[in-house]
Amino acid sequence: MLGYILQRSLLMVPTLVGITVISFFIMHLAPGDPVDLFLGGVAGGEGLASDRQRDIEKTREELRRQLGLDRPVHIQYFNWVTALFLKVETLSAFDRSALRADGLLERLDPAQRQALAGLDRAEQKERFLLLARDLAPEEMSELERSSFWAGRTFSAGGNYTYRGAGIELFRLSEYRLVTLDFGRSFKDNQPVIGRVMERLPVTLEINVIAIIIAYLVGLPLGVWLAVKQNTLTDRMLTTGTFVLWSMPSFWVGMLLIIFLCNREFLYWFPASGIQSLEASSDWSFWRLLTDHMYHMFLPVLASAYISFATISRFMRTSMLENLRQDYVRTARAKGLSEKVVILRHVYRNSLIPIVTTSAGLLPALIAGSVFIETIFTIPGMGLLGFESVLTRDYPMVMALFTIGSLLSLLGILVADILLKVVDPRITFDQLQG
Amino acid sequence: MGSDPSTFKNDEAVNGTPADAVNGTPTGAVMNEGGESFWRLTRKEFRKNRPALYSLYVLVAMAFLALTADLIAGNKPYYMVYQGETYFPAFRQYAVYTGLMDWPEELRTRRNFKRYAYSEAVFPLIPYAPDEIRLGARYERPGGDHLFGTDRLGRDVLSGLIHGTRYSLTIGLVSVGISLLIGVGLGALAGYLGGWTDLILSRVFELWAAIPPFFLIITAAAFFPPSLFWIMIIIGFTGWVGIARLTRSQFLQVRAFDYIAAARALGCSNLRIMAVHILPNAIAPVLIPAAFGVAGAILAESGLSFLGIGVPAEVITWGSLLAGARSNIAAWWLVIVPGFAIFITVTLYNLLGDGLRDALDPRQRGTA
Repeated sequence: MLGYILQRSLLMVPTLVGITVISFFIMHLAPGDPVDLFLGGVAGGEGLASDRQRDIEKTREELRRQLGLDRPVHIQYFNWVTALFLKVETLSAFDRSALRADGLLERLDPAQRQALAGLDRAEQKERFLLLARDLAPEEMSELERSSFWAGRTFSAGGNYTYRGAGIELFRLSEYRLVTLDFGRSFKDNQPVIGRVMERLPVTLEINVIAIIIAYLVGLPLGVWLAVKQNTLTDRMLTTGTFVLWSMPSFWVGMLLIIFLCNREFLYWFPASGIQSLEASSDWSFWRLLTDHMYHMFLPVLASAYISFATISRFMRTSMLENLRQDYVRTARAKGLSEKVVILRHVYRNSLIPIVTTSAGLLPALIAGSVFIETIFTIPGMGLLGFESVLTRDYPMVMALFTIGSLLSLLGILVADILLKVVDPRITFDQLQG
Repeated sequence: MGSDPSTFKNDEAVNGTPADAVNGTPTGAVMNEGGESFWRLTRKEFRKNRPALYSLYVLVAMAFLALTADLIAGNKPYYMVYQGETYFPAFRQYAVYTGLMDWPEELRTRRNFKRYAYSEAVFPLIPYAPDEIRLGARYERPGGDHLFGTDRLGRDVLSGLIHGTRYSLTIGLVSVGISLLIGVGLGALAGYLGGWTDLILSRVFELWAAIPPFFLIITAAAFFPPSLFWIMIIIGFTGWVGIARLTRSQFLQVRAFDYIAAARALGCSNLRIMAVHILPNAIAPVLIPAAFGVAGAILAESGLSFLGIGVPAEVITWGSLLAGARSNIAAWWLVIVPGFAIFITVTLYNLLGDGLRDALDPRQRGTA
């Protein structure tokens, strides 16, 4: 089992690389680039004077060079991938001194540091260098000459803060080994990964709650409908789930927002955001939680209904297939109660195809987040994705694409593992003989 | 619907069709014993499924509506007397679309024919073109002049709805056509040639299946220039994997039949065997994902229009009508009407897909 998980995880790597290659090339081979968007309407205006045109052309070239867009696509991809997985970066002299100063400060005892903090800047420097000379005489000459002091940023701690992306592995050396560096956003020059991590929790929250609700309601409903097959309730509810299943999520979202968050009709729910504007940290935990739930109710509903309909329909079909099997007749013939037959025998066997279906739910939900989050103005990954494809923020789009695909692949993997859990007959070991 | 396999000469050798067993082994000697062809049986089964049959009828009616949209809603009159001359602009515009005719000189100044000082004219039932801007009639509620109201530029929603049928159906069908071309082509190659080709193509299928489709659609649509042409290509290029996998398994089964060996012995080329001998016997199950694919493509297109990605701003689709409600939350009719149209069309194609599945795959009958 463990071997299987490991093998599958390793197989995910080439798939993920393939996905990133495809998305990267689609983005970069599409006509036009973000620079045109930055320069806006002025670029390419035909009525402009020729020297003005030349200026624009120069700016365009410069911007393209700065963003690394002037290099061939495969080189750009190579840079992107190497930055993502492994990057050895030299610190600038400024950063190096700051890092050293912090390292030395940590080695001082608390009383000395306290004393340093109370001094003014010029005295601080002198006193610090004096103290540091005893600790690390070999580093002194460089530390004294450093441009770091000209920056007037010295304080008794926290001179060096890591501003890059991802995980910093070697702190106290002159190099840092960085992973998960998706680059910086074209829009605000902030590390992409930070922005994504800010947005990810909300999206995951909505989708995970939606999946849980969908299963909690969908599975029992499917079982119940199968047991009541061909009764009036079955026909009505089966049609109902079919209708729900065909309703586009953006339509449902718009219907909810127009009729339930609108002063013209019913103003039952807030139309946007994840908490009230007046919410503050001095609210009690319960108040914050209920306020948050109040805001999340409709988005979760709009995400959950399609999965709910899918699951209940699949469950009903699967139950009906199993009810025809011979083992059901055997179970009944040996005198088991109908409840035991349904819940212990048929239900368990019917779960197997459901687990496989669930693998497809997560990618669908993540894609659906784009609609839900734009409609309800929720600051999640979907809205971020929508904004960044519009502004052609390559690094951001690539990061979202990679993380979204990774989540989807993980969903498939989890589904396969769950399949093994619900159906012990399935083995992933190699066939013998 | 496809070609009838009984018209092919090698058909005597076909001892059953793979179509009635999508996943299992081909079974049943349907044709020779019962005297009924596979397609006729399928048609009979399909007719039994009332919802699917009626869906098909309604979809045909919608296609007709799409074709005649200019005669039902538009600002070109059926019949118009202008400066003593008689014209039939509503009919003439079809000739103009196809390039057979041009507008006469005196009718080129205005696109809205209501502005001509005509002495006599009979306008269509809904005398508004979908893109006819009337700032005096912004956000009019349903009823009165405009049965389904107007949008923020005073454009008639009903007219937009009727003309939007064109975009939805065209995009749905053309995208799936593209998916079919790619999917059936690659699937046939993988299944028929086998070996290394199969191994490599199967990896490609796996990879493509792992990409979350709507992600790819949104990204590509945002990066390529906004046009319906690109939208169709993009949706078509994302939806072919299921079709390819199904075609591959069909071809794998059929190529093992004796009549294929016979065809090869007669010296048929690989291409001929694939296209003439295997394809007609392998294509039926592919219709199922194709029908669902049309529903998916319509959903994807209206989703993109709703977000305002990839669809040119001047094109009025159901999705862009729906998006109009985002700028005015009081305009409830902009949500109800186009959303309902999308929903109905998607449902009809889903019902059609269900019916096809039931007719083509008897083992699943009555369970779904």
